[in-house]
Amino acid sequence: MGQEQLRTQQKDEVGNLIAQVGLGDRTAFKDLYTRTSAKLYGISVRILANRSDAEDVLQETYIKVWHNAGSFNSNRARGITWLAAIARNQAIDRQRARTPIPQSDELVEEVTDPAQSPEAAAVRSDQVRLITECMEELQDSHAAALRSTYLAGWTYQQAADALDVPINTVKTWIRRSLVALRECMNR
Amino acid sequence: MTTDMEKDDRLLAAEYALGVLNGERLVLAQAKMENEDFRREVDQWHEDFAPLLNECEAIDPPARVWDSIDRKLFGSTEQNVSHFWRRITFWRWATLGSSSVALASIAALLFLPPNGLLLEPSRTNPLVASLSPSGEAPALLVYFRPNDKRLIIRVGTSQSEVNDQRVPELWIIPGDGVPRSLGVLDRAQSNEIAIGTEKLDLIKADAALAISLEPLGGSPTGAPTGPVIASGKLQML
Repeated sequence: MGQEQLRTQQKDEVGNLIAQVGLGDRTAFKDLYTRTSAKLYGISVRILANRSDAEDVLQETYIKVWHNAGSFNSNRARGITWLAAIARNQAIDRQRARTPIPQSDELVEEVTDPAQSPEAAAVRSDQVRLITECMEELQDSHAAALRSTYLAGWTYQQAADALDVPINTVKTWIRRSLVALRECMNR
Repeated sequence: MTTDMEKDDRLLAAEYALGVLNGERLVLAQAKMENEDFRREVDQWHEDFAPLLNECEAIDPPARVWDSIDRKLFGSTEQNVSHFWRRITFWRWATLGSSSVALASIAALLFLPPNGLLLEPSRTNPLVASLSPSGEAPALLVYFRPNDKRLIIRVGTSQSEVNDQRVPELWIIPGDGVPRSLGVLDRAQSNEIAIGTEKLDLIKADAALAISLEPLGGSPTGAPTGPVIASGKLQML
């Protein structure tokens, strides 16, 4: 419980911007977009593997942000996490609404951004250590499955198909990982 | 951390945040989001997973995306008033005792930031006032944006007293009790008023704002001549 409070008391500029957006401040909204859209676009592209779809999702995401910024509670989440969750959910919804064969008609080059945006590093360093450390305690196959599943936004079935293992296997891997991670992070 | 949450519920929350659920279990998780403990657990998982997203390369989106957003949200000049009202209901009200300022009544908007600390006005901590006609639900929101020194005024309700012969004029009343005009408001639901350097130091917490109805073109005397339809005090956000 103490760690939770510690995390959220850190200065959260993105969170402050979201609060201003919640008051209808368009300048803050543009500023928020400038600061965070590259990260959110990257997340969408990773899930959708299609730039045109990712652009649509990005648009939907920020429209949602505009309408829901008032409900952002800075005690419970950091701004960038809140934003990323919206983007991720939009992208996942879109991906699952697609026809069974994903439209990977474009080559998606992952443009390396040598100077990663501040928001990419906005997660506190000890938070990164925490999950990274704890992931290392998992079996390689379990950790890899969890990481891929999370980044791709897979359901259990999709993960099973992509990883070519039975669905019960992937469920076991991931559930065990989640339980282990929670215990590890609570230490 | 909720120790009394069922183990299965905690796992469900993790799976929900992860995004692996489908079918019945997904519906179950969505239903459980009504529960505050469950929601908190889900939020915690989102925070915990967040560092993994750093593996996704940040990619600059094309300019057309912003243009589209801008057009869709702000293409028309109408504000979404009901959306604005939902914001207002989250705010708590307190009435002040008698004030030295000669206005009908002043209602103060108390807007405490979530951590309960009042912060210095800065780029990210603006001053805000909600002006109400004596104790009723707020009619207008006034918000001072320090970075470009503008007062943003948003209308939350129709101003039934405003007709073709009268215009609303905004006043600031500092400690000496003498109202200074900040300008006539447009009847549009959103106004932006630039604050000149000579008035800038009047914009501070506890300064009173008021709106009076004046003849077209504003008060002919430099002081309010018409009825005060709304008043409030600036508070630090």
